[in-house]
Amino acid sequence: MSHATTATISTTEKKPVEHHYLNYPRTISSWLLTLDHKRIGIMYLTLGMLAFFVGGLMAEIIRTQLLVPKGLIFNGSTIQAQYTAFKHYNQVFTLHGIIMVFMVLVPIIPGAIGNFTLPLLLGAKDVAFPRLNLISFWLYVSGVILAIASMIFGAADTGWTFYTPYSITTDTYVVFMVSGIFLLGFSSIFTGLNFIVTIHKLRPPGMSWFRMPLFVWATYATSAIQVAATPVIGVTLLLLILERVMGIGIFNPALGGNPVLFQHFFWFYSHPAVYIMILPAMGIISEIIPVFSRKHIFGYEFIAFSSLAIALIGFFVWGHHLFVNGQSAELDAIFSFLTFLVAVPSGVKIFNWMATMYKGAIVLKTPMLYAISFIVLFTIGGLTGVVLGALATDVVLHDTYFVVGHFHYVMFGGTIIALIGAIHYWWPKMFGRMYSEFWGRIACVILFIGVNVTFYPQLIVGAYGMPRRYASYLPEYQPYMDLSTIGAYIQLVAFLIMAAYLLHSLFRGRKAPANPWGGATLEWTTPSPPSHDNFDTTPVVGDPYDYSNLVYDPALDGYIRVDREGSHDYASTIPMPEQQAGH
Amino acid sequence: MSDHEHDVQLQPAQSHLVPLRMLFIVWVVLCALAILNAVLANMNLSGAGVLVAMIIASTMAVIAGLYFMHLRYDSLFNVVVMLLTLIFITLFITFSLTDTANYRSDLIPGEAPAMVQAQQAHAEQATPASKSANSAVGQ
Amino acid sequence: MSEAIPLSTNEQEILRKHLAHHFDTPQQQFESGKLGMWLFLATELLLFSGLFCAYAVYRALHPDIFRFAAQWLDWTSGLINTLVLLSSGFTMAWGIRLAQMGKKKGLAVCLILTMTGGLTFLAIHGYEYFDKYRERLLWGTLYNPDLGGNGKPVLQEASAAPLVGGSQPARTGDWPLLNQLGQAGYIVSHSDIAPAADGPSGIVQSAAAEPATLPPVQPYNVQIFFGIYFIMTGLHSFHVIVGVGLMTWLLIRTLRNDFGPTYYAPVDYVGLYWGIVDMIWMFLFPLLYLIH
Repeated sequence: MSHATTATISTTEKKPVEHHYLNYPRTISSWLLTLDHKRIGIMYLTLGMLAFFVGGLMAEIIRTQLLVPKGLIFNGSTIQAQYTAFKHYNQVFTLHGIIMVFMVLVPIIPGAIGNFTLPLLLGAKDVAFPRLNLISFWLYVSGVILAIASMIFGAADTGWTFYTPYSITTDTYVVFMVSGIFLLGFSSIFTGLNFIVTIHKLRPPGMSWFRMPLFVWATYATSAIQVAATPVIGVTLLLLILERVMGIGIFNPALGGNPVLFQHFFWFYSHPAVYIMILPAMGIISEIIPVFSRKHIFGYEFIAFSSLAIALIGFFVWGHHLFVNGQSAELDAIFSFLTFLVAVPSGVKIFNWMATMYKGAIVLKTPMLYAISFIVLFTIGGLTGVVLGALATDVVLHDTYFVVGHFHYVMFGGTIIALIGAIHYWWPKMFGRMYSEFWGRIACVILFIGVNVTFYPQLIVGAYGMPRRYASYLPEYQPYMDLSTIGAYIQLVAFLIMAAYLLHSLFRGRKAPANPWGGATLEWTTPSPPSHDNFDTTPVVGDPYDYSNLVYDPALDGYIRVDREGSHDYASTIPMPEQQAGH
Repeated sequence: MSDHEHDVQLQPAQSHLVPLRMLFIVWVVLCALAILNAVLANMNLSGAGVLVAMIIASTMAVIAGLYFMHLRYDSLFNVVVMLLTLIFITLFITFSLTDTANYRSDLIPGEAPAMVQAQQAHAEQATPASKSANSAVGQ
Repeated sequence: MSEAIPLSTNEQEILRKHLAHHFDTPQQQFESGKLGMWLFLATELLLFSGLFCAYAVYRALHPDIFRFAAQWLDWTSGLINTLVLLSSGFTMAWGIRLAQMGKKKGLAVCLILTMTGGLTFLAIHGYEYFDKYRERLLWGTLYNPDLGGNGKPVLQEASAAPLVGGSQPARTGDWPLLNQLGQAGYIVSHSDIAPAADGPSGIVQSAAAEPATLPPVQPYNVQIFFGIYFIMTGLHSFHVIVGVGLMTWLLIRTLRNDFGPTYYAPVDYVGLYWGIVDMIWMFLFPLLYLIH
């Protein structure tokens, strides 16, 4: 195929459109009802980015409100007016939390990046249950729709944690919101189940467990958490719905129920859920770092097993959210100790990444910049997490901006940065176009500055005692709060630049070669973008981090595989990319 | 579906055929255990009653899983999935129980104040008397 | 795979028809389906685990509520339901066996028997629910049984042991008031936990020292038990209803001649689902009906 297409393209006239997964078939229904994991991944990405945009808008509103101590947007002259206004503020930060956690952080990396890359990384034709995959996507859509419905009627003002008894007594539309999240939970379960079966049963010959790329290991650990933890949030939310609709009374102290039990239920899911958010992000970093260091990953087994260890230990630590909420002192001590354990596998990963970069030939392309940002930001987030895991300091810092700063360093500085890194890393494979490297780096640097300017002052102001979730604050906190708001605007600028050059590249971008970065994982052996069936022949599986056979070909602006002697191996599994447009 | 070359002979999936006699025996044993559970419960074993009932129920579940659900003849990983599930459930329930059994006594000092007040109000309603002074505790 | 059995072209066609494009062999597809099903069953167990957890917590804290409420649960109907469900599990397993052997008529009969079992279970349970409804043995504020006759224990005034703290009012006779208070948003919680001085041992002592006969006095918060009872059995019954629906679907496909000795995977998967429904009931029965 390769020689024939190259010949037709070089004549530069009306070239016949090659069929790949994006353009064939073209009908709307072929997208909406597709069973192709790549298309489902792209749909997840689109919707997830929309949700991220809405959630980000909420964040900007929150930060703008906090520019002045009395509140810039939601305030009032009388007590009554202020009460109503602050209630709206509560709704806004609740929406920000729910959208970001349940519609972006939890589903988007497995749903978008995982769906697109997992079968490609494995060398499989699709996930194990394509129809379930589609159902999972549509459950995600229905969940989002229900949540939006509640937004229109009167969004919940409970915070994203829905603690009882307030979530039972508030007059906002909690049931809509909770039903939406219930559906999102099922979507998450089905995705996880699908991936576990895919990884177990659909590996091609030669793809042994220890030849799997580390993103697959991370996804495997994530999926295990999704399957094991999400049903508990399902039953918790079901009980909350019944609580509001029927007054079943299990979590309602007015009816003799136990609200602390709700918190146990909630965090039995929601603490492992933060590992659902961060583990795939770590997997992405494990993919990007060796490729742009041109060096084999250091400590493959350690990284692989630390993912599983984080997943497992993640189930033993939920009680550190309840240190000041009425949990017994005995359990406080146990959970505090167990919480420290999580730092060990996380540290193993950080050190392995740094050891990979050590003496590597580091190429500072956009994805690598994001990976390095991740390491810095995640380390800050992780270390502040240890501070919060310690029982005595947590009693002081709990429910202050310190927690907000910590959480955002981990979730924004970790998950979102890795997600953006992954989008940049796999963008050529997803859409077959290159984005502007120059603007990519600019946006990354601006975003890195923005994140630190936003969240570092929050750590400080939290340590000074500023409580979280407040719509107004004491004047002495104003410098920090304003700095944080400025940081939020800097982030907005970075995202606008990013949206501009990424959208531009979709239409005007240079055609991407099959392997622009020189990755050794299997997805780079397919054309960009891949065909519907991913692999025309069963791919040849090698070491996913061995770059010795990949050499840069300036004619293609991409990498090609050569055999040991150095002669070009045109018969290998890499189809020649169609290009020359830019040369 | 067109991917599979038509000259390749496909073999059907293999799975174990459980003998009918075995299924019948399992059914009888399960019914007997259920009846035993009910009989023991009515014999009033006081404290150990719950424990015994749970042991019998677990035995029944294991037997049903092994034979009715073919777990004995199935892939080992499916057994591992079930075992891991049980471990997580145990973890969940144990931690929650440990907590509730050790609630900080200073957080719940006897009767809830709102309750005491409400009961006093009720008593006053039953026998109309002078209004209590401390009436603003609730809400 | 070594002793390849030669199959007729018709059977080859069936195999090919049911093999999805991304699987290589029917064996791989079948095993994937089974693993997926077992993972799904794991999520089902974890879904119920929340309810079991709530049950365990409330029973450990308030054993008196459970002993008091147990008088209204008829263990014989529970046992009958258990036997019905076990029998339907047996016919389902038998049905899978017949499906593996390709006996379509037998499979259809087994499916019908299993469905009948499920429906009988639902009928008995529905009657129980109706009974509870008639006696106002419901959850939350709807709990309002007539305690003054009809063979039910009569409440005695203030016979409970004096509580630490001295100033406690009588703990009985004001149940409707408690309901009102609950509706008005007052807290009616944890009144049975011994105060600070006694610590957790206070709970244990009261549980062990109580005679095994019915508590003469209605404890607080009996409605919690019925909340748990209805949500546990309700969620389980919902699963039975789904199971009966799946049986119907299988029955239609069986009568349409979809299944044969080479293809019967859906029967197996539904069998696994029905197994987990059975399994959960095996725990619900002693936990709800055999409290003494």
